[in-house]
Amino acid sequence: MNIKTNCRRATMIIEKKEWGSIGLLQNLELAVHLSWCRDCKIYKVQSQQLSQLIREFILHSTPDVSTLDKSAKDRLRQRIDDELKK
Amino acid sequence: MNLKEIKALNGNTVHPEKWVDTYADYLFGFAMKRLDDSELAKDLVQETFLAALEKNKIFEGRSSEKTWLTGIMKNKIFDTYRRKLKNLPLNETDPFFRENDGHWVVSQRPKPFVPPMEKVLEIKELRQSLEVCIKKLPMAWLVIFTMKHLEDQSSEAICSILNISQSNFWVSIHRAKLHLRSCLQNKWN
Repeated sequence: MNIKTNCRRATMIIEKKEWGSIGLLQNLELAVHLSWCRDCKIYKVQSQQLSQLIREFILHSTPDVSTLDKSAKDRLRQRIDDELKK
Repeated sequence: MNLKEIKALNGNTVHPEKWVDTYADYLFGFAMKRLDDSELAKDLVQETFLAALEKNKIFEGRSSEKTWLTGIMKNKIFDTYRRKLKNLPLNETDPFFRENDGHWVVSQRPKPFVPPMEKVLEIKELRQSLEVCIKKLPMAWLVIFTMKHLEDQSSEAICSILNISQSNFWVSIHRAKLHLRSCLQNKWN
């Protein structure tokens, strides 16, 4: 275990932890780092908030267009017809 | 193969003559949500229908016609993701941490966000800045989040579907978060 974990590594462990894939030692390593690093403590809170926002954004955003226009559908119909006649 | 033969093969469960009316918009919307590129989405709808006509023997009525077509579309979307992920931006220089000791670069140190986080999606300006910052991220990184949230996949499954290593996966997630956080700190604070 790396006792003097730097912030680059600590923030990476924070990301992994959110996906549930860190072991006991990394957990401890992170806890030690967070006990003295105020910046990464803030990052940890924000990282979780951002995950939640990304999730909401992806689930609820609606694309600019979500239906096909008539000419595109006509072309599709024609294409399927052609294939069926083969 | 004509329509009659397809019907005979599949016990009347496939109706290609109705596909455009029944599924074209649904499949297009499905692709748009995952790719946000209307030309590409349009092409994939056509490819899905053509692949379905070719593969119709595989359809044995075990799933609904809609589920079957959606599955074909999903695979086409994953193919597209794999192509996009060939250009994973991994080698960019790291602007966040000091080269020598890996601690935060002073200008990048996190500060608490000023606006209340629970209101971000309700307040128009905050929501717009979030959208701007998310859309600035490389597509390849967004793909990972899209797969997590829309397909509900684990990190292992995402790596295997996208054919990327665990280490590239974590670097992408980490970088995406760091860039997003930094972008929002500039806009919100």
